[in-house]
Amino acid sequence: MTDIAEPMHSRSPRRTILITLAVLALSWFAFPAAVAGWVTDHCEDWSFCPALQSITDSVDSASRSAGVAGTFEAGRDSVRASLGIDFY
Amino acid sequence: MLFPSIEFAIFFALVLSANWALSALGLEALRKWMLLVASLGFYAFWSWSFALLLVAVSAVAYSVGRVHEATSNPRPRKLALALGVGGALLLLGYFKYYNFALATLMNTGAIDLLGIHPGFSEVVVPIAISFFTFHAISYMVDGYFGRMVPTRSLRDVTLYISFFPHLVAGPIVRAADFIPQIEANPRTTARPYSAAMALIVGGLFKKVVLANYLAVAIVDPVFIAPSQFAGGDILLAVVAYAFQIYFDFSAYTDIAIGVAALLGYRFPENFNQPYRSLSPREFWTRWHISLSSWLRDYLYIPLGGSRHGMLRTVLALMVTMVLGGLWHGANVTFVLWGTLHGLALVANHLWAKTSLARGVKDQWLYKACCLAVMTAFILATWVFFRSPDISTAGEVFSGILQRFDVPTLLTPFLSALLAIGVLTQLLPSGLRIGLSGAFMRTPVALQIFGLTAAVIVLLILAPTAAAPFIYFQF
Repeated sequence: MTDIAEPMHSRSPRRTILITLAVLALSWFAFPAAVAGWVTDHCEDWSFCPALQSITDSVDSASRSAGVAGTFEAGRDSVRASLGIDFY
Repeated sequence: MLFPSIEFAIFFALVLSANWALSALGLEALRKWMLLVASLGFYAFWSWSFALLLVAVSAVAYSVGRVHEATSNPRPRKLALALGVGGALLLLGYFKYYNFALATLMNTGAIDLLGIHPGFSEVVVPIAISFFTFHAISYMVDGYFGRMVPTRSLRDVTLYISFFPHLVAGPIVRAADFIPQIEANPRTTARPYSAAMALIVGGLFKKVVLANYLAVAIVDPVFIAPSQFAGGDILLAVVAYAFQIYFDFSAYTDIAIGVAALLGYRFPENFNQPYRSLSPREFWTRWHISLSSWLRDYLYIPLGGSRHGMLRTVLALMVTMVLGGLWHGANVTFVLWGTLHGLALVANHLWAKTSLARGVKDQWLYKACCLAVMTAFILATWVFFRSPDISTAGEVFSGILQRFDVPTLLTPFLSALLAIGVLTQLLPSGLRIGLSGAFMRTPVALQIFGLTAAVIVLLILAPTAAAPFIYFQF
């Protein structure tokens, strides 16, 4: 699977990392509760846990104050309700 | 650690960054060590002790490779290969088939006839043992036949066998294809990053949304108790399972191929619209391609292939497919699934040699009939693959044939999922490449926006948590 005319940057590791991290960060900002919950569940005894939790909590509150998390969570809940199934 | 999880997102972000940072600094040895530690850590997420087993298997494969490199004398080379491959198969046999063999002996009363009374203790099967033993065998056999030069680095062999994108559920990557890639020290991603990311996001969608919903909406309830459903709904569940397993397994390999590509490594394609196959032979060139080609090259051809007369060909086909079925799991249902595919391949082989087949093979009516027969055959064999036992499979068939009625479980949503399944088999395969190329030419900010939008849609549509991939059990 090779593009016929690949731009020069199409296989650039630097750009790959930039885009991957940006997409992950924006997705985190859209649904911050999932990451905050995951850190709370998994981070217990390590010394850096409080710092990590404060970061995830900060992202969570920033997203909520901007109305981003609320919008996406409401959208997700209404989709789940309309599909009528949720599981696992 | 599942691909669709926060753990994996964090893990991969760290590994991806470290991989290219070390590469940019010219620290190639350190980069490979990092990938190896990450891969073993990925596996140790399930079990540390079995991660040690993985290292031990790699060490055996490495030792066999050293013998192959050190001497051209055929006797020690053959002996090392026999010991290595035999050891790998014994390991696979013990972990995967001990319980099955003992239970079969007990159930048939054969254990009393043999006069042996072993204590029954459940053997825990290491996850992905079928895949990593096949990778180890590939390394030993490819080295023996000179398809690649065995590496002098135990680290590289262990990295090949345990590389986390393919470790748990494939695709099965040949040593002759992958060892040179490890030694070459990649400088760029193996595919355009847009193509790799499209594979990852598309794979996540196929698994988290399509496969999971099909499983929960219809497949799992029907296969748990087929006798409680009407024939139409059972048939619908069988069709839904055909798409569920396709979405589930092709999703895993798409993500694996994409992840490996972003790290600079190329994996082979594993699926190519399998449900448009017109013959059993064609099906096996489109479904789980890395396994079917592995079985062809490492089992079917060494057994004689098609070069020693019809009887030998039939025997080689049947042995290959029965063992291929057994590879999937220690259950009579898998043996039956493999046997049916073997018989179909034999029939295909015999039919293709007739003058009638050669005369009609290009006629559209013949092709339409082939498609209908193949679809019915594939659906029927999936019943055995999905059923936990033969009696459940029997209930599925008897329900379809004896209680057939209009399906009641066919909701608009389920219809949409099945329609997407059909479309994936019909759309031109070049479409993905074209879209990827167009995406690549858009500005970076738009690329980030588009990919984020795709992930957010995925998160909105996704259920609370994803079930494990079907092929994890193999």
